Amino acid sequence: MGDVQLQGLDSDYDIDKILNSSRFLTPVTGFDYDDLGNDVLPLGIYKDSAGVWHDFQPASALSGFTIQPVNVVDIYSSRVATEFAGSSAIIPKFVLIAIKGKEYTNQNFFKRKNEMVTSPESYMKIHLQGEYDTTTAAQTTTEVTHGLGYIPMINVWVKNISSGFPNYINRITTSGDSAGLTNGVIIDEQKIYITTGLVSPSRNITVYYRIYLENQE
Amino acid sequence: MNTDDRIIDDELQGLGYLGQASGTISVASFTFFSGATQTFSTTLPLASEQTMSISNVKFSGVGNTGVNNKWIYSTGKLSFRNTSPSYDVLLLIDRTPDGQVIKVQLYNPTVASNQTVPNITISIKSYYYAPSW
Repeated sequence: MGDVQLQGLDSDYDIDKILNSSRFLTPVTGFDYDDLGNDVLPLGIYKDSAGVWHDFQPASALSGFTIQPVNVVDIYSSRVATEFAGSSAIIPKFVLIAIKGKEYTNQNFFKRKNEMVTSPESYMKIHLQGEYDTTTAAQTTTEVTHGLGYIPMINVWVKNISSGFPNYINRITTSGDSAGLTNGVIIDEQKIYITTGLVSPSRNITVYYRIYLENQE
Repeated sequence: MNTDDRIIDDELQGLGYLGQASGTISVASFTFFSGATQTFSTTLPLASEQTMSISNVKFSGVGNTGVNNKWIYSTGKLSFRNTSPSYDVLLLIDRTPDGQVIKVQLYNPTVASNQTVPNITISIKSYYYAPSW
């Protein structure tokens, strides 16, 4: 009988705290939801009817272009709702990440108190995280200084907190015009520049960002 | 037991790192005919289809000064209007069983005349990770 190996994860860095994953394991053909009780940040992929996995991607397209499959999982800040674009079932897999400072009480969340964490993984380490409120009354660029001296990996989400689909949240979309980005994030060795575009009628939005220590090689 | 061993009293479960990949799409200078679409692509290896990714992209050699030579966080679709010469750009990132596919489409609107597009380079840096599903 071997000795019990006790291993701990000793980290001076914040890492993404996953509350739940793979909420829907069976094919989704319609609308379903699960109330979460508070805002979360979603990341995910889905498998189409041909068995091919895709990232969640923004919807819409420019005329003259061929678009990829639209988002098939709508994540609201306090609810996970699945819809499908088309007639074929899809299987989404996603994680819901906690926002620092918020309390989560939904019974479907992972509860791992007093457990050992043994992991061969190298978890992405959060260097900087935050959020800010703004509106879509005008195109706005917000600078966040990370000061790392290299191009880091990041994640940025936008939550709509007013009209249309309130509390709809997803990673920020990227678009531009002849002058540059009208929506999206530019990264340099010292800062990230988050641009949110003009949408009429104006909406209140919350932008969440995470800048990791991991750099692009 | 080593006194440095510790038990984590926490529900932390991070996003496990699986690796990185980078790629380049090189577009040699060409004559862009009115109403034409040009498509270029590259495929980056994926450790597994069921990974998630963060991708940064950079266009070099485009006339749009707000985009040229800037690393852009990409969530799968990026579009902009290039200037000097004028044409539309659409970048899509998706995955297939072969890997992560990056596709770039350039579209010369029918209202524009034929024009010469200089050399363009699209760089992609992807970071792969996966939690415990």
